[in-house]
Amino acid sequence: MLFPKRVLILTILLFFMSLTFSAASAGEELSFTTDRPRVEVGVDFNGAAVKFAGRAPEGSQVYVKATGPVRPVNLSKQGKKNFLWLTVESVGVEGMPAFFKVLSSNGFNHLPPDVREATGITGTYDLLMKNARVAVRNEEVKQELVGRDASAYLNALISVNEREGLYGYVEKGIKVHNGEFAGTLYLPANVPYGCINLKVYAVKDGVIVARDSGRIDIGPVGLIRLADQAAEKYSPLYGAASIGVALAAGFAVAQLFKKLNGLLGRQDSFTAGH
Amino acid sequence: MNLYLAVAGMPVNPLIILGLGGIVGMMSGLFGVGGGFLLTPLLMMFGIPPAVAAASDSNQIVAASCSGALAHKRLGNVDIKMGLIFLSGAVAGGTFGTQMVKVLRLLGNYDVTVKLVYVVLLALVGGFMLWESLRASRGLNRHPTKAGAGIKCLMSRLPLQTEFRVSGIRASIVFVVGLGFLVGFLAALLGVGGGFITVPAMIYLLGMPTLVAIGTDLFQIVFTSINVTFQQAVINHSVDVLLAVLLFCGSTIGAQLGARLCRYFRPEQLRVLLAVIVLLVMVKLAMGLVTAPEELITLSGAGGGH
Repeated sequence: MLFPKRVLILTILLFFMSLTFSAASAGEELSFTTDRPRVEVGVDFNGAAVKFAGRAPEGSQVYVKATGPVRPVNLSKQGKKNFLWLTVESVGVEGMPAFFKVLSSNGFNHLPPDVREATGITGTYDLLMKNARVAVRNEEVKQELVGRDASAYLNALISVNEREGLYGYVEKGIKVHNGEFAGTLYLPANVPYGCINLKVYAVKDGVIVARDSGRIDIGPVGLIRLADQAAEKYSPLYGAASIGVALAAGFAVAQLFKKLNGLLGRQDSFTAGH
Repeated sequence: MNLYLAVAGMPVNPLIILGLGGIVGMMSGLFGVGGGFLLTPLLMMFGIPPAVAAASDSNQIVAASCSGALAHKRLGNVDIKMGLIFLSGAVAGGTFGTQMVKVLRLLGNYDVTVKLVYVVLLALVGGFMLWESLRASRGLNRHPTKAGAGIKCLMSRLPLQTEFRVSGIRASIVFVVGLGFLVGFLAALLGVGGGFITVPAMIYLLGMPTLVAIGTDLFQIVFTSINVTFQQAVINHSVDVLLAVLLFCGSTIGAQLGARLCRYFRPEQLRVLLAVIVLLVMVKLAMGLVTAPEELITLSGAGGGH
């Protein structure tokens, strides 16, 4: 006999058990929707609150990670040189997202290390810093900074972004009740154009039991779109138009005041003297 | 209600921007200075990115100086001939200065030197102007150009002498172009508009009447600010036309009022006020050099939020 009887029975048992568990895990689904897939930046844009909601497996905690487009940023450092405070170093930072926010229904300290690694939700910005590159901006050579030198710049950038509402960890920013969850992602007025990727995780007993993803597109509309595109793509025309409008305004106001003086019966006579 | 700015990438309160434009425009009409020294830092205080603040400010200076120059023209305070000759020298000096900046940067310590030179220059110009105009107001010297007797002697010996009817002076074209060149060179080197240097130079070195110096400076600022705005729009894409429109809605009206306010001041009083402003700017710059900033690392050189 090729298989002992006991092994055969155990194999059949494991097969049925795996069928049962896979059926159960199929039930551990996560659904996620936002109230709008696109945020339009018009003349009256003052930031936006994007509401999201969905269903998560019973008893799980929900985490939403929102990551915006990666944009290069320039930073400068002031230092004392011969008793004077001056810019002593300028650097370029690459690889840092322009927007990074995490909302959770629970604290971030409860996440075990493997979940932190898998989700990138650590409660800190260490992973972002690890992926970023800092280089001294010099006309001749590009010198990459590492260790503390780079961290000082990255921490400063993170502080600026936190102050401006572009970065943040929001504990208990998601309400979960009877397997349904809801929350609001606040986008500040200076949120960058582009795509914000949303990763949603349901974590139960220290294990990711379900995940989903989504996106919010942020872009200009109307007059803002026109001005933004003209400034970037048709800059000579845009520059000339800006100057034309300014000259016309200066001339129009001068004429207006001339007419006003005429109506008030004043004379614009003046003798220049020392 | 807030208004979103496309290039700055942020909303602003339009009433605040209109008010800022009005104040700066009034100063422009009153003293013949562009006002960039005041407006750019104020805009930055309201969160406008530095590059957008500087570029949009230069765009509003086009409108304010145009409005102010037209108002002064009607008052008979613009010497177009002088303005154009001075401008030709200033443009050449500015171009040469821009090239020199590149060379000086390679030599190192450029920023330290420039800031120190600017502080010393403002202290000298402001101090001398204050001293002279206070003496003039007490009737101790009736003519501000007495201090520059040697320069006047040099000016009379140079070739291409011509009459500047509006200014009421006779001067060598070579000297005017040379002075324009020097002012343009310093303005490019120091990264400033040059109003602080131009008006005193016209008053004390060329011997122009104070009000004509102010009007003529505004006239030539129209052209220099057009050049800067165009360069900023093409190279840095940092001109926010909506911000500029808001600013010059305030500043064009302010410039008209400022130009009209001129007649309520005696020329030496205007010079005292300008001297005080020059000295205040000098003190602010000097303080910035010796006091530690609140944050050592800051965002820099970025365009708008997008």
